[in-house]
Amino acid sequence: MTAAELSLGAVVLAPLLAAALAAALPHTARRALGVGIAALVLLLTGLLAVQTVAGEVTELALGGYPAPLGIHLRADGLSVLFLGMTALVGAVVTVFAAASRHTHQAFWTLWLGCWAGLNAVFVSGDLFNTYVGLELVGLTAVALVALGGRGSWAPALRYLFIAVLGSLLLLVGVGLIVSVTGTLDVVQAAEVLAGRPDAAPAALLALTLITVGLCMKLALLPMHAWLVPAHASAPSAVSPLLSGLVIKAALFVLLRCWLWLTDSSGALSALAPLAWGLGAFGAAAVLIGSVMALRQSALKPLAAYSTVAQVGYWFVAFPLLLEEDAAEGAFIGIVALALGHGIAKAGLFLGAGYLKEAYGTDEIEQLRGAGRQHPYAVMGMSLGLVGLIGLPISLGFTGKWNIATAAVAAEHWWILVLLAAGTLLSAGYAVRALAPLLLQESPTPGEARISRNYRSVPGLCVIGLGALTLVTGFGGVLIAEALEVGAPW
Amino acid sequence: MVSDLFPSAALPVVPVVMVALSLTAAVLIFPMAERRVRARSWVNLVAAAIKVLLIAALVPGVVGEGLRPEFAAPFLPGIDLVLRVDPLALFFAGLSSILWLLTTIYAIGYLKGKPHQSRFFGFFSLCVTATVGISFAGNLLTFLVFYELLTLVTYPLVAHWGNAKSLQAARIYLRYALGGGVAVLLGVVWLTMTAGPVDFAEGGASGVAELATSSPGTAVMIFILLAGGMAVKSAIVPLHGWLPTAMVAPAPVSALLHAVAVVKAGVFGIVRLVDDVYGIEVAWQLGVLTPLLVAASVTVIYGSYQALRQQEIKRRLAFSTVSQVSYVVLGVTMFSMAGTAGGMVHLVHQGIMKITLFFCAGLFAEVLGAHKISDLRGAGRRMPWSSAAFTVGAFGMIGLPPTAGFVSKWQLGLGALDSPHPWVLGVLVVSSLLNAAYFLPMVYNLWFGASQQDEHDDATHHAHSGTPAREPLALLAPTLCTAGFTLLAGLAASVWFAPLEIARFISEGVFG
Repeated sequence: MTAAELSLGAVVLAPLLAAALAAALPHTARRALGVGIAALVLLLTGLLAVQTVAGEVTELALGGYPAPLGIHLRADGLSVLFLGMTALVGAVVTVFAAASRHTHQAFWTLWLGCWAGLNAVFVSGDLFNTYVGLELVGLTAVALVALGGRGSWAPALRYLFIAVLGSLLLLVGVGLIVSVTGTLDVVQAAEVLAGRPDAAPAALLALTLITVGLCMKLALLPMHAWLVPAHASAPSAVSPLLSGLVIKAALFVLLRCWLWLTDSSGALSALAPLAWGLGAFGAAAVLIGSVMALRQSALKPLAAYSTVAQVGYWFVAFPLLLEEDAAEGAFIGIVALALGHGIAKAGLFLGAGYLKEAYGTDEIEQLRGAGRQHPYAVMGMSLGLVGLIGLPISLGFTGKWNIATAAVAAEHWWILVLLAAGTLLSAGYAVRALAPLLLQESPTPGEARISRNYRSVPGLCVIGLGALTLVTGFGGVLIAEALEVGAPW
Repeated sequence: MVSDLFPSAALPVVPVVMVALSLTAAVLIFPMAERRVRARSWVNLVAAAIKVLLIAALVPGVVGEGLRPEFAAPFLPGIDLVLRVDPLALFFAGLSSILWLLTTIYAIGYLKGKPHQSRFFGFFSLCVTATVGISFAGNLLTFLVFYELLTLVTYPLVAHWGNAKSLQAARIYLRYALGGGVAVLLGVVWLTMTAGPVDFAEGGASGVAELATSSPGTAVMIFILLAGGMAVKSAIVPLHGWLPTAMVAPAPVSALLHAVAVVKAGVFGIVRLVDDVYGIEVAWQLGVLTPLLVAASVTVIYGSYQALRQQEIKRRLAFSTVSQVSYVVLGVTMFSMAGTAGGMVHLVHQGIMKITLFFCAGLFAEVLGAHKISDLRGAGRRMPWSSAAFTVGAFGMIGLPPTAGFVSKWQLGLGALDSPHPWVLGVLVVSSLLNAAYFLPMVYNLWFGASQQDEHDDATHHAHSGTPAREPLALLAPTLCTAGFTLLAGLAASVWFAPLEIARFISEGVFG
């Protein structure tokens, strides 16, 4: 077993075991455990990434039993990119949570369990383990929301319904695919489907069910209503994880099913109506989400509506996945946007949460002049917003660039118009959120004294994510190369 | 010769160092405590001075020996971030780095004792980073990256005072600039997909020339998107609305905005677009130059007319910028070698003249509290040095010899006669008359106007209003420097390193 194969298993098992262990430890020890696991996962992901950059897909059959019998783990370029983003964001948020006085003691078990679930989804080679991983992510995420106190219980319950219903649809879809192909392994199922044109209707139905289920988890408009209260009312360290990472798991599975299950020749064209439907809802999400974000008066709901809008971008590019000369560019674009959003939105939410802990409110009007007292947090948020608007240099820009060029290649001009409109609207809500913090004077006079610990660890975490937003902006070429590893075409 | 100054391996790194220099300054300044004035000033001044020296060291190699130091880093699939030093880049970067040094000195004096200095100088340095990046950008994508960066970082500068009025002005600015930026982005995307990645090249990029022959309609559409987007920053009518409102910014910001940063970045983009992306021949054959020329002519006249109607000093200067900056566009679109040289030289001349005027406006406002043109009455006696500098700048704007403005207008006039559009000469004459009509009354007020106190008050006040006021040295010295440059560029226009000669050299390259 090579180091990379070992890390493939460990990247799931280490946080899972740590989650169980955390429940038994005293509170301070949990923090240390969390930070230690974060460092370990970063290291393991790094090992996997090295293997992937070298052009190899890492595979591991647990217990030596190959698919379809055993559990098969597989890390291709797509997996490693999402693993890497999760490890980076997860590590920063873990440090934030460990340094914050407000972290609930149940946070550690739930978050480490959630992390294990995310990694399980990303490295899973078969559909059933994907389902199990998603279920673990969903349930821990619901519990994490509920840590936000009494006000967050109702949103958490609503989130629970959606998560379970979405998983159920996914499970039915997976069951259909197993019944047609006789295997759970993604690659094997795709081979069987390619050889059996008569199974196409069942596969189409299965994919539709899976897509609808995952769209609920992704909060694609019009199924977005649960996301805003859930993400906005969650604790400071949880909102970044929910918006940055948790919804990415559903996107990952969706891309896996669309691009890997269907063989690129025939079955995809049958998906055209579905793809166009998703594109239309995505376009509506970009516009409505952005306008709603513009109308918010508090930071966290604004960030949550921004997530609704950003989810829309990914779906806007779905019709392009069906076009032969645009599919690759659109795929790179979606992945770049999703990764960029993971980092940038985590930074925004972390900053908003930081300010909420410092001032007891996230109402923008009350936070006027906060930039003077907490320059690191506000700067970090600004950089995150640069990424969310999609300005260079950020993955948001790279993603939009790729989608725009793909749209030109496929001559879908409406996508260009939509990208332009979305960019301007997001600049609008970015200014709405930031200008008072950065430029106006504080409403309570006489407190101009800068608080002594403004260079504290939580503030550094926020600006760290902000800096990552910019630095990863140079990774566009790397992403394109990584996606070549184990690509569906 | 250059190998004496830089080892050849280090040469490609120089443009990166130039960009990194002001970026580092910004990163150092942002976390500084408000009261560390001395440390902040040192970081600013050292970075600015190093940059001027680097530019000076590059000139012999790039202009004399034809070297093109280039740095490329992979950015998007198939497209690199490219920083390249060519004569035009050096021309613009030279302007921006010299004026940055002077504006920094001015700003340190201007903001003394005022709040939020770390934020101000941080964004100020980022603004210069963007300007340097724009000048060294070697392809459209790199240009776009820094162009958008410039939009972002000037927003907090415009809104610096944080009151409702400046926030509103900054919001208007951002709307215009981002809208223009999106148009440029769409144009770049479209052009990249149809003509391949576009590297700036003297005489135009080959891919664009092919596109222009195979599908001229598309090429024209893309040109409209790109030029339209850049016209926002260069304040071409009717996209100029943001500029006069942005006057609420602190004086050094206005000075920088009008002389080197935002407005100039837009014009510089148009120059690059016409000369180095499409190539002037291709652009001429596509027929896109004449509409741009007409738009620029309209802007020149309209801007002057509006300036004439303003009673506030800064607003009058703002509309004057609208008018003057379009001279550059006028020059590069009139399709003659002399005209292109005239446009390019005005890129620099307008910068040094307008920054002089804004420095003076800031001085008058700070020392005398003068905001309206009528407040300037009698200022010549109280602030003789500032008034003298203002007079030089104003004469330059009108185009009187021996100032830089005269050289610009002379060269533009030669170009107009040499070009297919001799009527542009008429535009120049009318505009110069209008310039005189709105600048001469200001100059008259300065020197010969009786101050209001003279008219109303008794003898004791009279004596007081006639005494010289203290003109702060940190504000006055940069002003006198730029005023001196204005005269020098006019008197010594034929020295080999004078802006005019370099502009002619670049223009010869454009026409091959």
